[in-house]
Amino acid sequence: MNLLEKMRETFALTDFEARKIFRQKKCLAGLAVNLLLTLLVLVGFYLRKTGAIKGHRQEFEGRLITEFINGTSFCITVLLPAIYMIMPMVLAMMAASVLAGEQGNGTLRMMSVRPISRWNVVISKLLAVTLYSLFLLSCLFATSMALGSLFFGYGGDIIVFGPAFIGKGAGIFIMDSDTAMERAVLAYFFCAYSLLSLSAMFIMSSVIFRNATTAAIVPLGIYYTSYILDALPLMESIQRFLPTRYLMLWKYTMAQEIMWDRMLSDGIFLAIYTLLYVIIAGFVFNGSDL
Amino acid sequence: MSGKIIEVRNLSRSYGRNKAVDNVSFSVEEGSVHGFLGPNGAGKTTVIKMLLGLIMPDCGEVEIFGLDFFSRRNEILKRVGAVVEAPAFFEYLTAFENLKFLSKFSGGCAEERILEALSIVGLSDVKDKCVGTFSYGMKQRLGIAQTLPPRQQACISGRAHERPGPARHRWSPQAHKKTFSGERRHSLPLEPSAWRGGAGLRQGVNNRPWKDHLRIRCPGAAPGGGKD
Repeated sequence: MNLLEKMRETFALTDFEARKIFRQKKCLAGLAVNLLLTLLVLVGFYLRKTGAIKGHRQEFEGRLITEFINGTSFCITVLLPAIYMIMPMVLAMMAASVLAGEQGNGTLRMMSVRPISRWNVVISKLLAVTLYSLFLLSCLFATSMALGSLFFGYGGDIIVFGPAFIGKGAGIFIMDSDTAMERAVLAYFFCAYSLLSLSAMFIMSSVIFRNATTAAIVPLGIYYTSYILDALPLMESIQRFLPTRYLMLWKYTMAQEIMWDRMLSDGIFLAIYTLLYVIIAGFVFNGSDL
Repeated sequence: MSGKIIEVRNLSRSYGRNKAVDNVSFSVEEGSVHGFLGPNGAGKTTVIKMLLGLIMPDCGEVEIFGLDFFSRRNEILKRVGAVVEAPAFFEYLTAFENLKFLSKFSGGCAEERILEALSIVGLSDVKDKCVGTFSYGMKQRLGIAQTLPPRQQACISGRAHERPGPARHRWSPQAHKKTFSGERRHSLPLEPSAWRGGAGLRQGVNNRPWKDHLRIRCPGAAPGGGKD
């Protein structure tokens, strides 16, 4: 089989896998959770803005929100909980379903008696889950931008709380309207890149554990534990090896000057991790009994 | 092409200390319908999975259509229709979509051929319904249908013929032959229950009793193996 035929097969398989994902009801679960998150953040901001919550701190922050909250800042704020918490959970569930789940119910075996390469099966499932993550991210961007603009107005300067994005030592600064919109789009774009790596990790787990529940829980456990270890002061010696270390490269787009050098190095490490996940998944799947 | 469509030589597979399949050899002749019998745990499914590349054997050779399976897998699988264990389908897709996509990966075929396959197993009326709404028997029949398009030259199936619904749709050697009419087909249905269900199922091809056709045995590792 030449390269062109292999690419055709990968494309056909990815098309099939994507159709399968979007035909399932669980596809809507990810959308629903993201929408719920957006609404919760919206309510929180709205109550602050309207002064429904009283108190010195709230009043001060409320004034800031009134001044700087708009569609763009709302859209960026929603991204934080979505990318740290919601998206990993939804993608873990979907990756476990498309590989370990299909292995459990026998449909993967039905597919594997066709003349298709097992490597292509793994790659197409990864691409389909990544497409799903892009779909969720696009919906999150569109809904948060629309609701944010509707309730807080479109455009305008935003206030960036540096520590929330870059970490300790980063300051609080004001970003002008055009730059803010550009950074929001960039942040979502690099999130998509991070989600590719995350999807690869979940697919690898699906291949290794075979059981859908285990395949979802184990990598999520590793993911959240890595974040905790990444924040602990005594763990410096292992932090550079943690799989989550390079995942959040998108946050450097929120610095006063985009940290391109840091993004490039993190991006390369992330690509290496992603490639490793795919290679491990491919080799394990190729040698496994179905 | 020689008269042997499937030829298996000295096939073995172990799981740790447990020898699931030990030195199995058999062949299937062109134009024949064969059964593969053995008690539970004898290794029948393991052998069939090895024939289809779902499990790699520890040693042994498999030739299908005279080609070495392990070096020409894709070429062979384009010509083989198979159901291993219970047929499983994507329940959120319709019967037609399932067959369309599955046949696409076997080389593709015309929609008419898929409709014909659905008609043969009596599922034309429900072709646009999601498989999730199907009864077990309907899924079994769809399992048989998915071994048909594109025009496969060999059919390997396990448990697909168990309780496949109403009597008019029950699988029998004659039905199988009829299904494969006009084409050179070779069949290896797997599980003993496929032949125990009813009178039709016991009858052999060309009115000869089944016992004349059931030559393949799987001695396996289970105690008392090879009694069937």
